[in-house]
Amino acid sequence: MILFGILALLALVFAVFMVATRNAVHSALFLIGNFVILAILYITLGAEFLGLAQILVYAGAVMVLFLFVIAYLSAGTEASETGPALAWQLPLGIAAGVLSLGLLLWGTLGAVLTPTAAPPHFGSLAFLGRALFTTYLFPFEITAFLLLAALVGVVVLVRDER
Amino acid sequence: MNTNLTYYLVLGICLFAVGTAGVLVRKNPLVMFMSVELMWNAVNLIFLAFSRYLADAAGQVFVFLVITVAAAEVATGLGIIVVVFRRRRSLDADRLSALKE
Amino acid sequence: MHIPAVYDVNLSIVSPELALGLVGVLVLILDLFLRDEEARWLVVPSIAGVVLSGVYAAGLWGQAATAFHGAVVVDPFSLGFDFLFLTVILLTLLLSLRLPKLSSGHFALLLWAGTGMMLLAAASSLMTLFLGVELLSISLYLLVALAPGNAAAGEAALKYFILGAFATGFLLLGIAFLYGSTGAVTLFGIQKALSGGALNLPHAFTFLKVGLALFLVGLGFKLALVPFQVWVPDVYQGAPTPITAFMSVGTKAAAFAALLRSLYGIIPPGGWIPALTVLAVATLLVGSLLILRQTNLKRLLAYSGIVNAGYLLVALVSFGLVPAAYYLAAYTFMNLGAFAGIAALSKDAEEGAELPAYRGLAYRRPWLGASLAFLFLSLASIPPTGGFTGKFLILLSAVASNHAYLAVILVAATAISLFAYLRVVVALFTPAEEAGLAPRPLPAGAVVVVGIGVLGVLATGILPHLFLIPISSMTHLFTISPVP
Repeated sequence: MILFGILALLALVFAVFMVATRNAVHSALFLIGNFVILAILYITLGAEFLGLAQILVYAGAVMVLFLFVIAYLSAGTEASETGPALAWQLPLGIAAGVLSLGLLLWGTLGAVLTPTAAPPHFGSLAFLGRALFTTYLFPFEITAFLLLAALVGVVVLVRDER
Repeated sequence: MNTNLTYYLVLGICLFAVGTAGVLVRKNPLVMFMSVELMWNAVNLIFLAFSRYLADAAGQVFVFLVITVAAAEVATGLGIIVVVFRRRRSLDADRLSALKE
Repeated sequence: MHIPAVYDVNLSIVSPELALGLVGVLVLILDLFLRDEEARWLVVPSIAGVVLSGVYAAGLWGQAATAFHGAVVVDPFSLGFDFLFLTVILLTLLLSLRLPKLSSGHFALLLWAGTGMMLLAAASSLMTLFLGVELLSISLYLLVALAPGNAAAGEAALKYFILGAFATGFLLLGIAFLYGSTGAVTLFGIQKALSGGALNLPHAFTFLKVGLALFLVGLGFKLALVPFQVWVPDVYQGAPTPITAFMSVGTKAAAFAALLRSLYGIIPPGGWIPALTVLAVATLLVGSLLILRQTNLKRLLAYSGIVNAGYLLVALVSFGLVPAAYYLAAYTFMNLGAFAGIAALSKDAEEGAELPAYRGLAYRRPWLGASLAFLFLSLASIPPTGGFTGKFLILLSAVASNHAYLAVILVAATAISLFAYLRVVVALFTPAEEAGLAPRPLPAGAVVVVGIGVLGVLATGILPHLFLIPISSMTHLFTISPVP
């Protein structure tokens, strides 16, 4: 319980700093911190393999890619704050956000969910693998198309630009 | 660990809210994109909490799929961002050369 | 070869999707043997792929089956939507020939986006639904950006991408709560849990409501419902016109199919009708008021898409499945035709011109001008066009299901937006001295699409039984029967 409290607090602090800091490189580093904490939380929930995958894929590969692009575009500075203009939506968005956050918390706080006894090897590689290749075979196969589409599309996109 | 899983849900929702705020408040497309990643990860946490509560595999499989899709999304998104910055730059260069003439 | 039952494999029921996706891979491989300037010939194998997929879908007609442990179904509903999507892809392929630079990636991504749409119509599991949405979305983000040197298209792709991924976050959170409350991700499983009293725990019921609301928000973005429509005009305007046409019809129909199946399939109507009614009213009123201010034709059609999503919602709320499907068919023809007209006339494929440029077009290019006028009259729902017949059917179903106020709002929205469309028609017939738009020669592919659009609108307008008979067979057959 104490462990959870510390981890949760850290995760939240990292998340808030990620959004608040004005430097994109710092944002990326805070996000990596957040992802590592989440990976530990995954493991406490019995998802060992996913916890490791989280560190390898997210904190590792994905965030390195992010940092690489930030460095490549030298977008770390405030000068690049030129994304899609959403300014007029800001007050509306915040109001809606606070409202829905309140509703969501109100909906969940009352619940008491105690974990049921998990089957042996719950969350292990073998457990997940068996589920993926039997019951969830079809969704798994679709991801092949999805990755191919992203890969080919990005290569063509960047190649044609030159 | 025998924690009440509700705490995980609450943490997930709070992280999701921080991510949402990030998308709405920030203007840098890279930071907006990172905020979206935070939202997706918050959802993963909620999925895993439910999966543990139900002692059911579907939640874990879903998280596996979300991580895969997120990797594809990151490749796509960063590709688009790079291309957009390049086009903006060449647009600025065109304007400059037009001024010189 | 013997496959153990534990896999529950049945490739034949996903053969239409599989054919389309694999032909996409084939197109990429064929590109290796072609020079850069020959790449546009890849449209031929792409069209062959669409036809092949259609043949497979026709072969499955009448079947109702599920496989892969409930991940995917085939039924007349999914097959009917398959035919709609294949038509959209076919017309978009023809229209794409207008683009200045084409690569194999363009055709492959179009086919994969189509695969994603077909998966959405066939998805009986929230996992398949999520992956279908993402396959469609990722392909579309890239297709929007794939216009070398076009800064506007890049900005549009960026905006579309960030808001799309943002919306998917809400969709995912909704799915997570639906899973948490029912313990299932397949529609069969959710339905079983709901009828089996799984919601006796008070928190489960709350989770279900929260999940459903977030699910609606997520799909509302994809469907461009008010207030989740803010991204639409900029993205539609910036994207290459053929891709805009594809998005405006394809994405909308696919998201609608997924919404329809999940709502009718799993949740008792009392739970979602009030929310959707509010969304329908907001979408109709806001959309039809905003459309009046538009002078750019692509933006005008973007807002028209928003209003049309409102019509579809009215049909959904009043259980008018047949009208909804009929209207989607008519909408496909009139919208794709109108975008094809814009694409045919613009100098660079990405420029959707301002209204004054179209003045006097009917005199300079009588056939094209008249066709465009006819398509806009259909959007304005003037009889005897498909736009009128479709809206009339939706109106009838709204009245029949005691949603008279929705019918009134529908008529009001139609009356308001009428002016926006009529202004275009008037401009087309207003004499003008200077020759604005009209490159010669007109691109053949786009002209063919305009022609097909006009014929389709005429057919849906005056020969409704031609479409109604197959459509009504389709909607009576859900694999998952609606909850009463």
